Amino acid sequence: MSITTQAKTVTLAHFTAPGDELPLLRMSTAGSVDDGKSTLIGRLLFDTKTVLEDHLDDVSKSKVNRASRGLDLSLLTDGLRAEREQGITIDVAYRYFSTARRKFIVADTPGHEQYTRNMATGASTSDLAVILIDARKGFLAQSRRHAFISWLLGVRTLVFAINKMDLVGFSRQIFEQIREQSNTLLSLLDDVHVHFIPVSALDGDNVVIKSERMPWYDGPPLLDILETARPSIDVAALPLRFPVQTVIRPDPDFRGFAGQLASGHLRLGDEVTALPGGQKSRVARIVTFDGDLEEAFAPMSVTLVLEDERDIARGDMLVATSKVACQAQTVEATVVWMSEEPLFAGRSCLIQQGPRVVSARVSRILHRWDVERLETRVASSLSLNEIGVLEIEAAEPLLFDPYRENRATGGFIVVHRISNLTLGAGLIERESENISECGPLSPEERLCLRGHSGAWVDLSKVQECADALERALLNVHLHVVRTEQPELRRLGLIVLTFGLHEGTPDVVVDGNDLRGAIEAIRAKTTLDTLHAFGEGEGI
Amino acid sequence: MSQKSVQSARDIIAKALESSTNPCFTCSFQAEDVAILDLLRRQRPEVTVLFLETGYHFAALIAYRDRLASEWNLNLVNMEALQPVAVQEAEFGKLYETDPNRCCSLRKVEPLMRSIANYDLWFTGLRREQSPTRANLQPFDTHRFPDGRTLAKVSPLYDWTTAEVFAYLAVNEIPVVTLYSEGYTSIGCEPCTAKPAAGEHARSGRWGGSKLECGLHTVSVKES
Repeated sequence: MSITTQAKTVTLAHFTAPGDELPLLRMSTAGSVDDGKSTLIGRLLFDTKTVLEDHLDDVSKSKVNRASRGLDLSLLTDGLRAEREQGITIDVAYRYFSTARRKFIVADTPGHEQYTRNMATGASTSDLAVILIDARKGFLAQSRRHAFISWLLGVRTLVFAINKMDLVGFSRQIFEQIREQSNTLLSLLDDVHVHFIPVSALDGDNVVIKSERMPWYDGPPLLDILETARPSIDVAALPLRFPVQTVIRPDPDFRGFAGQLASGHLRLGDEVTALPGGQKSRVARIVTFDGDLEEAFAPMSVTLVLEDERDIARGDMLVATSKVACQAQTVEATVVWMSEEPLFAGRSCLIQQGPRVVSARVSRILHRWDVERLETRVASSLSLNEIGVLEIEAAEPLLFDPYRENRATGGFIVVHRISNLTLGAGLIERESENISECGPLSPEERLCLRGHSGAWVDLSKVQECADALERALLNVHLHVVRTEQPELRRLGLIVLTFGLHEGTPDVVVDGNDLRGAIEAIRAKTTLDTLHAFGEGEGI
Repeated sequence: MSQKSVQSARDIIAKALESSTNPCFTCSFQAEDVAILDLLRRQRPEVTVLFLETGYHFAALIAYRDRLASEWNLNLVNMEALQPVAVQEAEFGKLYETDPNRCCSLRKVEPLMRSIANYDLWFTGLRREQSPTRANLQPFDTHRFPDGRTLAKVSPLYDWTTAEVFAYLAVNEIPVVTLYSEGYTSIGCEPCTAKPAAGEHARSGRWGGSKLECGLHTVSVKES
């Protein structure tokens, strides 16, 4: 692939070659439909003169022109035909451009909510996210969602581009209001650099050149921020991780392990450890198609020959002995669910990390993220595009680093056992601390597994509504029993009694207000309603 | 929840108390704090329980605090602002309406920071599940004061889920403050707390919906 412009020729290799002097920034964009993401990127490409001439020609001839005036810049980036016709981005499009100071890889991600998975895909390799906000609409739930998902995926620089300022009369007040609206979100995210810029992507205000129409804005234009943001972490500087893709044995004298360095670097003679298992050896040769090397860096693809004969297979990983990766069969992971079919605890699946595929089971759904409110919720399932924290038990050890330490080895996909479809994408938080599930059940554990606590419901005054009440409670999956033993409530059961007993019932049903009784029972037994009320110090 | 969670909280508390002669626990009397309080009082009945008496609390919360304090014989210490409510209102008016950040700073952040400096150990109800920034919360942490001094900060329930908190309270038959059953989900000072609208954020009732945090939590986390 090559991009020709008036001034220079840019090739894909230019962006991915190791050892290049220009620092690389991987970035993503997100925004709701029609907030102007594609136009903004188009403007960046156009003003930095990184557009294919024939592409520009193509755009100027396009029958679709959503711009009210001049060239429709979004057509420079909305690469897919279906998207052009529907007016929405349906996949992640990668764009490459460079300036004198830096080179950029941009993941253009879609705004439609059902495409959260694409957005997650784009953000997972990015170090900076530009989140578009339509100045007329303000800081929407969707903006919150984009910022949070980006943060969750390890993006630590968030640039809020308040777009379409031309349509709100370049109002400083509106800009400040949007900034204010985002405060609650930002107070919940730590270790994050945030910028706010008022822009008009269509006209180019504050994109590459500082706008004269907003003299009240004293910050730099977008491109300056992109050029000076913290550059992407050099994966070659992380500890060595070499997942073995295939074992090459053309003849009895040669046994090489081929793969791509996920992170780190290695030199001839370096000691490596093979996981799982932990056998050690040293690097004897680094073989490539163009001849042997003395050293190799991520993300190069090489074939390694070790000094000793070792039993290593596809899916194993060679790691630096000085800092080995984690090996665990039970992990806690944050997962974006991508299947129409909801996930329930107990589901079996395959976990794929690069070439390693292991059989696994989702043993528990620890919680689900409410991304609009930035709280966790107790959950029994995960639906399409929902994000949750799962406990996953694998049949063989998973080889990983926590995602926050190493994205290349901390991510995985969840694959359907039979259809081989991708069901979800995840990032490993840590080895699960919950080692055994076979110990004695504690009273607290019993309630958590039931999903609610118990209650004693006295029906002595209105016995006739018992059937309706029992049915209604069973319908919402509460554990109900009819018995004259109120003390069973301690076991997490909702006990309906008819006779008279010592003690104080939790709920006395005395009218025919069935709905009120159900509400009272649910309020009494829920383990979730009061969720998130304290922030620990109750302030 | 496994048996391990309760035992692990007990172990964390025991380990922290080993080397402490003068521990404190900042307690809002909301559910997770009451769970810690119960675990803590069984090991160190005389532990200092610090409560932010802002002067603006709900009567029901104060009644609940007093009830637990007397039933459990707590060593309760109220942290108060430098100015009583009447003096502050005479000087600045209703700050909770005009400048809630300043109000929180005067009535919560300042008294808390001043009070905890007197102790050698600080128990808190922070949990990993409460907020995305706490995903990697550790049970043992260090709080750093602006002048560089440090204080050991311990969060025994760091890995508990909300369900586990309520399961613990249910099993041990510990009542929660009555305001929850009236529809409040997050309880702070009365003028700044409303019931959240149906389907809204649990804390959306706080500060008239204009903010979610008073600043202490953020200050505290950033500096620890």
